[in-house]
Amino acid sequence: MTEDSVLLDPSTGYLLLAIFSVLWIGLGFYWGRRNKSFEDHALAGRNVGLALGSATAAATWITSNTTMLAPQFALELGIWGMIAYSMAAFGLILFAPLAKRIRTLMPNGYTSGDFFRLRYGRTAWGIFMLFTLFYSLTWLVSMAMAGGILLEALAGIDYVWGMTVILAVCVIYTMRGGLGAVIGTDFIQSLIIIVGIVVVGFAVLQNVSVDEIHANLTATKPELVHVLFPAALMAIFNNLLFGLGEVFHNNVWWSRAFAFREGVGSKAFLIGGLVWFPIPIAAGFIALASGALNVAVPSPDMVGPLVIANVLGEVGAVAIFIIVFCSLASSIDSLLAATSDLITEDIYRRLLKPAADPATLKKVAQWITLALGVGTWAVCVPRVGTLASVLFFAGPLVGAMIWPIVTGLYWRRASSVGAIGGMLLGGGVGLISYFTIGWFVASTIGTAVSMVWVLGAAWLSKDRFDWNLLKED
Amino acid sequence: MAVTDRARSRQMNYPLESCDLPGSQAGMHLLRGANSRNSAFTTHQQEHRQVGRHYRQGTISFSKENIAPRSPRPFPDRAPDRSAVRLLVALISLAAALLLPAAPAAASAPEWADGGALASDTGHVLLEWQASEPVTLSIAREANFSDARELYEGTASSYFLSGLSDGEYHLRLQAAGGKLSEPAVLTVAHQSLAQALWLTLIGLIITAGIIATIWRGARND
Repeated sequence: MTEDSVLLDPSTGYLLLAIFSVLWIGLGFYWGRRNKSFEDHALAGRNVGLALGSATAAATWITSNTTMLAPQFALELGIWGMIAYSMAAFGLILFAPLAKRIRTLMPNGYTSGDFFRLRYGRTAWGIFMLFTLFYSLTWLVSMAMAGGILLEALAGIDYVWGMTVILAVCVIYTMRGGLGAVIGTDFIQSLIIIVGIVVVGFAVLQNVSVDEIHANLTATKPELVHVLFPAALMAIFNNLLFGLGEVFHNNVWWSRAFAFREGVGSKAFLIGGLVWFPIPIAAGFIALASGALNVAVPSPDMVGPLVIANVLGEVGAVAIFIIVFCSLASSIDSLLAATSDLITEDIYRRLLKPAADPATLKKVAQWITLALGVGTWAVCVPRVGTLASVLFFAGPLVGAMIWPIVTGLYWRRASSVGAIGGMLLGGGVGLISYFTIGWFVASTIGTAVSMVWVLGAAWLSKDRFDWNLLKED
Repeated sequence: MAVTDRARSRQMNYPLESCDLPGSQAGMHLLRGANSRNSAFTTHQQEHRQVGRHYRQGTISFSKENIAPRSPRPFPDRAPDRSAVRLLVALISLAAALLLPAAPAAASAPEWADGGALASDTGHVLLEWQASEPVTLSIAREANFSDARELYEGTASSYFLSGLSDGEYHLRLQAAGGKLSEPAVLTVAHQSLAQALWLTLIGLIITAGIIATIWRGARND
């Protein structure tokens, strides 16, 4: 990143940062004023309606990756890359029936860890915790680092300051307001992001036609419009399976399934997925227009902001700043809330203090949120760029958890041997393929190996699971 | 590229290699600093050489006789003699040569950050370079750049190139002053299409299996 790429005056950047920080913290305090117990704090009283539910599903899935990495995908892998990124919408869409099933089987559940512990036992739970904490913490670190880097790139705000403010704001309102505040702010953030992306998309179309974009791509970047582009073809299902693995296993989504009112979960996730689906396509389209608009791209992750600033000038720079800030906040707050709930429920309550009362659990969850924030900050300050890329190692790990979860929710004969072997073998072989072939095959191969093992184990298993065991108090 | 330019380019890399600051921008500042210091030094040397040349040609005299002070004339009653004028002019010229800011020297040729041999199996690559002035980046399929196409012109130090088909591509940077970089060669050989199609098929089967399992399970819910 060079100084020349700063798109916005730093004083404007600081002003926007201050306005939105005050807004989110104020709303967090407002929505958190009625939280009394751990259930209120962690699951918003299990009473979230359809509008908020759909918005939080879409907004949480719109990370800074969606607004920054989707254009990069399109610039690197073309039309297929753009579609490949959108395939992650199937994570939400296919989680819709799972959410209904989860709510039915586990009316008193709190976390995805509860499911693994009750369904497959302690060993499988331990492996799950290792995988999911690796994924969640690297996602959290990558988001916080991305926040600092993007604010610096967009408005010249010092990396440490930008990262600290974003993290501090999210920690404060998540600590105070819990999942209720997270979902409420997600609703506003999703509206801002969607309106922003749509406006930018139309603005780009005002400057250049689809025919011009296609002609430019055909002449200068032919592989981007080539149907048989090998890396892009491999990325389609790899990304779809990565997305499925992320959503199916992570407590960010399970906590929402538990928090949504009876009958809301399946509709909310379906609507959230459908709302999310076109966003990477719109963001990717912006990147494909860069050539026709004569926007030189010094770094692929900056293609989106550069095109938007080129098309909309100062207004575009302000818009992308707000969109990025909202995208970051909507993901960081969800991760903080879901990860602190996972640690509070699965480790503190189930392992250390089974007799802890609801008020104590709420306090513990708040302190864990703070500790996660401070820990993430300490890891992010040195700005070790390779840390953010560690998130991509998680692709095969989360892919390897898909089949143990799906079969565990629907098949009585799904076994612990199948789940443990599927996670370990799928994750291991997937990681090997990550290094020997590339990131665009790791999730596919990891999921394939896990699938073969889990199905084989289920076929050979004589166990028949009693669903009532999931209805733990 | 002239031999002297290459030597200067190599010299200019030393501050970058010993620099603790990460990033090309920090390197560029050091690079510019090193270059301007070299430029000033070179210009003064040139001025000295010019003065020496004039001396040898007899247009300026630095003989002991001329430089030694004459007896003062508090009230000059006539115009100063020609040798005194010459001495004055010579001294002023020398002072000017020593004191006035040096004119900028010619900038060096741009250099590729990674040596100029590039390969990609995805059709995209991030090109990075070091240059002390704006550059024009060109791409060509022919090694002699007969079919060159301009990709970028400006002061950035990187450019992201994507969407390339299989083949060999030649890249070149030209500084605003006209100096050319060594050509870089980018070889694009995409991943195996057969492997891609097999993995796509496997992905399709897995996805279909997941959908079928959920659909059958949800139907019984």
